[in-house]
Amino acid sequence: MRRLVLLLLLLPFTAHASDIVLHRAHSYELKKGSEMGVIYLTIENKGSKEVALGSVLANAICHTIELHMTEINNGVASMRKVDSIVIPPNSKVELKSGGPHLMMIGVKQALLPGDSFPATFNFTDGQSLSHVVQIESRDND
Amino acid sequence: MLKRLPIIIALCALAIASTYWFGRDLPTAPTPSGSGEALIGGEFSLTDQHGNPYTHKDMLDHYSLVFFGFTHCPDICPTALLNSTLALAQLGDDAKQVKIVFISVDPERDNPASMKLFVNNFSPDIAALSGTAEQVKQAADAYKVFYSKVEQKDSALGYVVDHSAYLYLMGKDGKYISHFPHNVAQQELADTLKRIINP
Repeated sequence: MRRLVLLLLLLPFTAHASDIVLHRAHSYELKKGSEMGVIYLTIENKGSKEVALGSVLANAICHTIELHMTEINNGVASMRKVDSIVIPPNSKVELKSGGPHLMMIGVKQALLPGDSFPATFNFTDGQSLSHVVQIESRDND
Repeated sequence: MLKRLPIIIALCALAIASTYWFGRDLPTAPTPSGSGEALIGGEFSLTDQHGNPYTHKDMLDHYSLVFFGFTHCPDICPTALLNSTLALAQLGDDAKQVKIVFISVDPERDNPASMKLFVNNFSPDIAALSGTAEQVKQAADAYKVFYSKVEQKDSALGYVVDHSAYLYLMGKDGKYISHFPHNVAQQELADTLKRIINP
């Protein structure tokens, strides 16, 4: 138990494993009953090989998380599911509004600002990172 | 010449079709005066999140910020509604003169209940409108808004709806004043609204 507490205390808001670093994973407050949400973050690849995010899980919070890409062409917004989000070597990819993002489908509970939840980020090379997603108030931006 | 006639006809048809298609995408550059005023806005008949009828006549006597989207949209639509809500929060008492109107382009999935849940994440004061496929088409056509259902069989969503992502500012007379991208800076939107409300 003591080890678990220690582990949780040490669990940083910036996860680090090998060459992939996840920065500021966050979602937004959601009223109870709202089933769709979003997670944004920045993924940094410090290595010399390309990596790709393949899936994300947060089963305690929602049924499914899909990798999506939003594009705007001639003023028309389109959102598509993608199989992976590629992070080239020695670079960062920001998942943000109007670009790649993680869509939560089937959110099971209200998301309250200040709370957080754990998520697992699986990369296509087999790496798996646990990371905390902070829930932010919508008027923070 | 006769041999080339089918090609000429095909080219003409293509030109006309592309004009129509890109014309639908609109909003071309805002037209400050003249004929442009009549292009965006017009009659519609929808239902708000409380189950009450809401038509173009309910937009009179105040300014409206109109956005078309859908509730299974986690990214663009929340951004547009949030920016609008926060811009209005900067207006103080003048905020009472502006109504945010969110119109669903997903008549299959959206209804007063889903619209209410969605907009309550931003402000219960937003008019969240849904309707039948025909009613939605009437509203979208009036605003020259493009929308298109796109199957996404490998997604848990089943389908998504591509849609124009502009905020339309309509005047107290229900006529078009200007439009903004969905991600307009709150300050820019607030400043523009202040200038228009208090010229």
